[in-house]
Amino acid sequence: MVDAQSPTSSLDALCDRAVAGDERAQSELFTNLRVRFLQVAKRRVHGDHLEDVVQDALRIVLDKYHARTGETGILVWSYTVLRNVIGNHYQARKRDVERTTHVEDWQTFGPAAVIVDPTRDRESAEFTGRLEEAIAALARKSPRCGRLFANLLESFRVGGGQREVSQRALELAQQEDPGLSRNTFYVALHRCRAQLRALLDAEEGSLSHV
Amino acid sequence: MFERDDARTPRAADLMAAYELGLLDEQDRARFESATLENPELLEELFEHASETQALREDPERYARVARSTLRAAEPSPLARAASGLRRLLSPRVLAPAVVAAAAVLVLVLMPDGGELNRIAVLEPAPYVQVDTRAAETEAATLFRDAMSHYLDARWGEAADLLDRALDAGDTDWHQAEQAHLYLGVSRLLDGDAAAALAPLREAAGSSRLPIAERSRWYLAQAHLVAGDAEAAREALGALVDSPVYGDEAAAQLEALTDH
Repeated sequence: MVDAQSPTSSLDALCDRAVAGDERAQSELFTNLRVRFLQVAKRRVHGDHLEDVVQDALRIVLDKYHARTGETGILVWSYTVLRNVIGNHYQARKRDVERTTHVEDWQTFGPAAVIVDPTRDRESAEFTGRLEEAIAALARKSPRCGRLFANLLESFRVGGGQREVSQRALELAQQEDPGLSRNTFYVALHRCRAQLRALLDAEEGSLSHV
Repeated sequence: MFERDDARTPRAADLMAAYELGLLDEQDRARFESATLENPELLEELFEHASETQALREDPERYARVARSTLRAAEPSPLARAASGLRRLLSPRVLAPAVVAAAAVLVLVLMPDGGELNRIAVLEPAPYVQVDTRAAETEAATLFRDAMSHYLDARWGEAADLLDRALDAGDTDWHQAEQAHLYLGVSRLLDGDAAAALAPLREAAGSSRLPIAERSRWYLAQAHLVAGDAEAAREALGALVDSPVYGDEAAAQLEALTDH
């Protein structure tokens, strides 16, 4: 039995080994992901469907994680899959209700309109606009946070490995604040990120309507 | 491990952003992940915001551009910097009274007058995201969609014309009417006709939907500033000071309007 709490390897390190063909690492990775999927899914999905939803999400992650592109960590990426599987679960349940109560309406409604690729965000165009608006609001509200994010995103854009991206972002931040340590940088980033989240929450739904 | 055992060691929760954005080294990542099992709220945070984290990592240039352009727009104008510098010089602790008097004359010359209120105004397009719809469209909705295509291409005049027509074509209960009023006002403002922007922005500012109402009040204030009406701008901004989205900017503009 794999110890899901073992801090010996990060999920990303396990993922790298699993992609390279290490079956033990893959088993350990999915054990760890399952624990973390259940933790958040149980707050959102009825107990009768919980295991099915989590299994569906893990199956998609298993099918796709080898071909995963981009720099997002495996846990965050897997959570976007789980988010969409839970969303599709709600859609399907809603559809079931409509099918039984409005048969004629349902027959005119193409399935492509409701089945969403579970590896993509459900409302990407709307979401992108909302995130842009929140970043602009953050930069207006707190120019220091705006600069911190601008520098960090610039470091992402230039690219490189974790160490390189992280070091470059820190050095850019130190140009403004020479005394900034790595830990202080992480804490400042966390606070700015929290502000960004608050702005996103405050604007929840606004861009889709405005 | 992440508990605050000394002033320099952040708690696990403080490393959330560094973890999700991929900045932590292997050891810290493993420790953070271990902490998520002891604190499920960390997982909740990761889950709730996984999509935006992924978006930031996948298209950093797009969001960096937004941050940089906003920061540039927020930089004070040379006039404001000069006025601010002179205000500091006016401190009696800095200069002798005679020099203060001379500087005061300069400030009076340099402070923006009524015709320069538009220097305070922020003229950025209101964001809009085109979302494809599958349902059959009414004439008003089609005109609105076409108008917003012009809007997204920064063709403000064309956008305003089509939004005008969309409002004419829409029923009294057309669900996009408030948005149409808002974007009509913004389009006219950005097209250089602040006076004509006022009526549709006032209409949209009365919306019961807070995001529309607040955004409309913000642009209404900008239109008043461009039109040189400090009192009306102050009134519109005053309604925004408690807004989590526009509150700080509204307060800053009200401060800039103090001398008007």
